[in-house]
Amino acid sequence: MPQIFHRRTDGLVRILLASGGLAIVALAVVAYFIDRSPYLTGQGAVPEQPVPFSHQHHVAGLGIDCRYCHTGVEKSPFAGLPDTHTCMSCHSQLWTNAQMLAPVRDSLERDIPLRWIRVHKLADFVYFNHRVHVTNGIGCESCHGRVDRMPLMRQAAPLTMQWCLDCHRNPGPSLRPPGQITAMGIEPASEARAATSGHTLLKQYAIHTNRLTECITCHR
Amino acid sequence: MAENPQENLLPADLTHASMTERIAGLVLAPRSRGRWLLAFLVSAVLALLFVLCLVIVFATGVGLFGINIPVAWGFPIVNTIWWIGIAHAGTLISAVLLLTRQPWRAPVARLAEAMAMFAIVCAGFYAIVHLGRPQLMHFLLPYPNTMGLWPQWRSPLVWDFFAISTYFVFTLGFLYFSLLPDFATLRDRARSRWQQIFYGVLALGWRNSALHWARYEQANGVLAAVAAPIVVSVTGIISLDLAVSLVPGFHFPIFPPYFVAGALFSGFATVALLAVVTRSFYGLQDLITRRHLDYLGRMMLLFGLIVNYSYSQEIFTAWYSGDIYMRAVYLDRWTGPYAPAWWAMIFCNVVLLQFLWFRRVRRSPWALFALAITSNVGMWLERYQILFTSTHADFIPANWRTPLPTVWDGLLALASLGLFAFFLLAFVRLAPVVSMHDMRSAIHRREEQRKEQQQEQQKKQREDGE
Repeated sequence: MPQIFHRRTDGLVRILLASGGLAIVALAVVAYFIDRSPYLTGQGAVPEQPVPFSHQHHVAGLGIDCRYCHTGVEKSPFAGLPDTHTCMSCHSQLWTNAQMLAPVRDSLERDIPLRWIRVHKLADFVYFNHRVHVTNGIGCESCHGRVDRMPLMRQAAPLTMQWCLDCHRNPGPSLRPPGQITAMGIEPASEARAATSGHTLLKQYAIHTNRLTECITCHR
Repeated sequence: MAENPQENLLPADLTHASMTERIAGLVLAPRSRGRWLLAFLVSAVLALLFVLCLVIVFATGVGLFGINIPVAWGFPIVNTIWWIGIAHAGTLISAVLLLTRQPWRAPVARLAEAMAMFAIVCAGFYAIVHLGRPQLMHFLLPYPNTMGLWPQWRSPLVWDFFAISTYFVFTLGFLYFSLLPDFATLRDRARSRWQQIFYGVLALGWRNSALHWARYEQANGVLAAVAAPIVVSVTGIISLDLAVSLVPGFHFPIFPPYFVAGALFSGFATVALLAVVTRSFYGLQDLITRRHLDYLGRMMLLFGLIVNYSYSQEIFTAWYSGDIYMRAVYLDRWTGPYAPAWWAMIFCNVVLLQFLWFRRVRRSPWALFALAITSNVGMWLERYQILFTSTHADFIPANWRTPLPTVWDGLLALASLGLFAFFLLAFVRLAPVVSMHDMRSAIHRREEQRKEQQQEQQKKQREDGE
């Protein structure tokens, strides 16, 4: 009886099967990295703002406290973006003719607020409360990064659920004493230091870590 | 003289060649095409209806079904359990009867395996439908995700996912494995080039060498040994979906064995149904004999009786526990809005089942066919009444509702029957409906036994002569 297949068919099928298996593995690896890439998480993105506001200049250069503009951060779920009057508390006297500040003056004149673009944007199904974090030892820097080094505001963290949980599962190392919440350049405590200072801070803020990872903590 | 167990199960003049000729001929040169084509077209239309219903349900949401709190599961889970149950007898016949070397297994094993495969496909679809958000199905997989979450291992939903997917992979492997030598036979007998290539690819270079067969037997034994615990665990796990909840009608520890027995009961009923249809359709009355039907009927009776026992135990538990909620569920089953389903179930599964005690009934294709259908209807009603009566009136009367199935429930259920038939009809057209290599080994065993008996007789005659 004549052969149905060429004698190389067997090898070909083996190669195809093996490469099929490899392709699945490769696809999984690629998907793993794409899922975490800045392209999908938006980490490092710098949205264009109505006025190119420099945090570096105002925070590091002038030493203005975060709460001067983000007034709601200790009282409300939203940190709050400054109204035009806040800008004008200085800029009615300084750089009054600067071209860069024209939209601010325009806003004041026409009584239409500036449309700041939110940089750190969470999904709609996430309940996030600034007050709870800021009054319980989490510094601005922990999520927003070194804003004192950002000429233009940039998304510092990936803002994935994994990233939230990294801290919620082990908040100790990220805790700061009440006086240092808005301070910049404070590294998270090492595991060794967190074991002592983190522990006392957890007690001081009365943080019950077992509740931090319940679904309803963030999804309400 | 010891009775030859193969003697009455095989036609006396059946040889390797004549058997192979007939079975392979059904695939390679089919004669009665018209009836097959008609059945195939009808089932294809229903399969398309299934796809259409799925698209509409996925696009619109499960609100189309007659489900809402308090009856949150309804038809999708009723049908998942029903289809999985049907699949079980396939695995049991192909694996457990293989391990126990039952001589009557050979001509019905292939049917049973194919039935198992396609019943799982239907069950799998229903399991996906019942999720409500099928686009998030991958959340059931433990994969490293950016949410930093693993599946909730305490959730029966996750157990289901693993049980059904394991069962699917296993059944597919087992079915293909048993088909492998038969594909090789078809490849060797095929005349047209396309058939040669089609079956040649499927046969994966099977050459019938002794080494192939040695490894085949080894692997088949391992697979069959794995099958037995899978049969018990899959439906056991699905029954736990219900049993781990606190609703009185669900919360019975008897559920896993009860469901496994029910699954096997409906599964054997379906094998009997398919055996009756196939033997008359393809004229295989001499291969699938009345004695085979008798055995299938006995299996139905055995597992049906275990189901009946479970009913009695459930009722006894409800009464003996003294728990007013459990008792209320039972009174509701007997007299409440779903009482017709309960009594119809009792009629199908308890009253009609007793006919199987009679040998004449078991050996009659028509009677067995009818009982197979009523048993499947009864088992479907059993799942229906468990799902609906247990939840529709739970602890707080303010929550009580009496939801009824909608048109979509019915359409999808009907279409899933069509999908099952579609796959099965396509299968019997493309693959041998009776396992040729199993039949060959059955014929071989009979020949061996005949030889032994002849030798014994000759020896006796010689001794008598001396």
